[in-house]
Amino acid sequence: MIFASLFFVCFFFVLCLVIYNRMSTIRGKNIVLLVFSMIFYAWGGAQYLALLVGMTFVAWICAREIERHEERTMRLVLFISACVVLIGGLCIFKYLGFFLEGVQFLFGVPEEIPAIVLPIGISFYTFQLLSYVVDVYRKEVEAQKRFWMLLLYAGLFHQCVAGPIVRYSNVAAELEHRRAKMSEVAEGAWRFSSGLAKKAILANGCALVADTFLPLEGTALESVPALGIWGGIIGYTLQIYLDFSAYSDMAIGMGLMVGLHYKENFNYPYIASSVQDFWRRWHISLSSFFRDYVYIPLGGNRGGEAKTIRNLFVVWALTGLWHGAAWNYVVWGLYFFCFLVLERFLKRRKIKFPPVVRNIYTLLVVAFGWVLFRFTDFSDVGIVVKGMFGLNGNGFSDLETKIFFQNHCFLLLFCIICSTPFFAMLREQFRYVGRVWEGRFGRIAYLAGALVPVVLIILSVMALVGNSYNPFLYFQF
Amino acid sequence: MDREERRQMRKERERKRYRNYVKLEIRMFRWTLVAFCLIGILLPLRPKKSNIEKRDLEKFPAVTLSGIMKGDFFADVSTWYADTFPFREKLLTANAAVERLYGLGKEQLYGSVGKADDIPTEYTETESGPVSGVSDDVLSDQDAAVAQGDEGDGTVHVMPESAGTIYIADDRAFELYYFALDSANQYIKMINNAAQLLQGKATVYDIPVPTSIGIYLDQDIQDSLGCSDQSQAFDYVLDNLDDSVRGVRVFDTLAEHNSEYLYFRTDHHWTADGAYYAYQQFCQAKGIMPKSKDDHQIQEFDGFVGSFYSFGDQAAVLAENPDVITAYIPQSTNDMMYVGADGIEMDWQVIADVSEYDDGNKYSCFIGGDNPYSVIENPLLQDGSSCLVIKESYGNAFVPFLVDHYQTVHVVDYRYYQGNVPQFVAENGVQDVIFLNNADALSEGAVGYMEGLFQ
Repeated sequence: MIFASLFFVCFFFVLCLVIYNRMSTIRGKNIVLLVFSMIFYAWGGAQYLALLVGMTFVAWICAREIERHEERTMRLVLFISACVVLIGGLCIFKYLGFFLEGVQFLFGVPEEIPAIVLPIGISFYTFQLLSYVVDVYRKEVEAQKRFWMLLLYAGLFHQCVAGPIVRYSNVAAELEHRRAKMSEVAEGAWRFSSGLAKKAILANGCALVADTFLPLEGTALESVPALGIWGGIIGYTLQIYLDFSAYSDMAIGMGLMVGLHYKENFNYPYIASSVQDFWRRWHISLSSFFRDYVYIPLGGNRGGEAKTIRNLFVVWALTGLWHGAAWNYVVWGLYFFCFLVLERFLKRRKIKFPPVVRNIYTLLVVAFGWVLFRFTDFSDVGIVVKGMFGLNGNGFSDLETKIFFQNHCFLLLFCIICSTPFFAMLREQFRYVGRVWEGRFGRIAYLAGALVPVVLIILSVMALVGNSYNPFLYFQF
Repeated sequence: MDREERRQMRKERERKRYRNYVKLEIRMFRWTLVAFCLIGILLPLRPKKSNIEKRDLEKFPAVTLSGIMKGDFFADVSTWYADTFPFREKLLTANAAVERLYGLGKEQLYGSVGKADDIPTEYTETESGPVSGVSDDVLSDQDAAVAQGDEGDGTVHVMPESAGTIYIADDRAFELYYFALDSANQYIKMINNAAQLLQGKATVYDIPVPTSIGIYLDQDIQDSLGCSDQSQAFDYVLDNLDDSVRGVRVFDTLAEHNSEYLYFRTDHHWTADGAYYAYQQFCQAKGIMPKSKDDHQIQEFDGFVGSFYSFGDQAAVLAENPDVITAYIPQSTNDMMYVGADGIEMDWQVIADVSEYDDGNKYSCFIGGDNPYSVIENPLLQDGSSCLVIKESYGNAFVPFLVDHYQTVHVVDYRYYQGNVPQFVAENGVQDVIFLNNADALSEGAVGYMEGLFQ
């Protein structure tokens, strides 16, 4: 099931909320969440649900045993077994084909590479279970005694399929007892509606721009003029941010509505002033996962410059690889690695640039990175680069491009503004007015504020009705 | 104390206001979702067909074990839920209105720009390879004849034409035209062959008719879209026809009068006024006097929003500027007979009353739309004169003008008629065979159908 679908918004989610609120005990509430999560996940195929349950079971058993035992070797053995199963499972389902392709390239065997279907969300829930096992091993958190509670953590439909990667330690206490304050429920409603509108209207609109100007098919790509290529890059850059952050918004909103607090996953990445800053604002839960479980265990930035660079290399190769089982993703990760090293170097030498320059530099680096991300075939990337400079023989613009731009310019502008904190600041002003001003303006302000989620939902339903299938980009994870 | 008290009271009011606001927000959110949920559950409200998209909507999928294990069943349920959501078409229209805010929208393009062949100055043979550029899916071979229900709501009229690229400028839509040398040559050969087969038995007239883009759209814009010059294309065709064929040139006349309402804004057809100019040119070629428009009774049908609207993704600017159909009823008779796709003979009118029809189907006021075979008998003439019009849908607006000049007017739509023309001509003593084809008919598919009439 996809969040941005009529079935989820108008049926599944409403039913879940209604039944959830009917339950009077936390146990009842958790059972409701668990049942709905299992249905949600099974919607992608009941066989994959079996995999999720199986992986969770392994993590649960191992974590319990690790906690029960005191001697180091036993704990280590259990820990390693859990990691092997979890990471192994992920590797088989996600990376076996990729690995075999490499083997085939080098050695000529095997002849045929089996096509393995990627279970939805395996990258997310595997990392969540891994973080749980590691935290138990490090004695940072208590193991969950009840299997179904761990299953609830791993499979909770809010974040199982599309993130953010929620650490067990974050929600362990809240899973057991929580209260949803009214102000938080209202905030959750707002986050949910704005996330839904972001996805259904804005992200899907930008997707149209991206698909028109950066078609995935090579021959169509060759005939796009320069203005179109740039338009496509802008469109794709916006699409991927709006798409992904929308899902995180909806997850956080849904969490707030039941009293669960997930950490922010995006912090206006496109106003970042450096690539390092960008990665502190983009998919925060992933980069902090790699920081805490790969970078720091490897030594982090202690141990000299060479070691630091090695650690960075590993983290960024893995980050790229996590996003997809293909070389272009690895290259994409290492592309950022190069810029991060460059920035470390510049910082050391105390070389600084004015803020505007830094911002533009970051945007250019990131935007071009998305080109690498979009095309699995490197020759397509070459075509795009040629097109960026007008060297693919199509000139600067043509009528189709001009018309399309004219007909989508306001949308793109609006999306660019949405990538900045502008609307958040505007909302703060309205809330302040509504809260503090007595009299007519105050009332209008808070009435307007109350209406916004309603309007956004109605607009989103309208947009979803005619939508052709437009799946979440990160769904191959 | 007073100030402190007042501040406390104000803070209390603030807090209360805030609590009320929060409650209101939650309540409104909840009620919106519940409302949509209820609407979604009310199964009887779910539509089964889409009028705008002209297709049946998804059905609830069958339950299978593999579907559940692999997830296909669930995916189909989600699709069914969205595809048949109640009030779907209203929501789609509302969404289209919102999407207009995305940009300026003065010009719109639906479909992609193609590539045309150059138009040679003299006859140039080609290898019979695949046709370039022209949308050959222009004509489908569905049973697309108009099937009028007793109430005449005309909803079953499928328009198999106009699947090409649509360009909208301001409030008028055009279909892009690309010349294909191969098809043009095929067409020429087909007409010449027909003329040979009918030599001595009937006179063959060929009337190629431009589409609106050739008459109304600025040549510069046509060039930037890569479109071909229709007048050149027609010159190429007409210049290479057999001497026995009487070619009728209508392009220049229409172009001269392009400030008049000759073509519809929202549909790919021409108006009866446009057809009238072609009729005048035909009369000149035949050597008869055309009747004046004033000699006819006029019927008007407004609110016509045609093919460009439904095929052009429901561009709102077209819906807001519907067309008016002006039809001229022949003096001698308004009765006709047609044979439908089902083979059943139906009595009908030359100009039928379509005011109750669906907005998109009103062009079928002319001779009952596209049927395999139609015939109109003129009770006022006894001279045995007759003609056979071979046409696709452009001919519909033209045929009514012929009724006053012939005792019998036979009409075949080459896409649906299964008979043989030379045989028909011999059996029925037809004197004139008139090909009335619009520019898009110079395509492989269309010509193939016409060739079939002479085999």
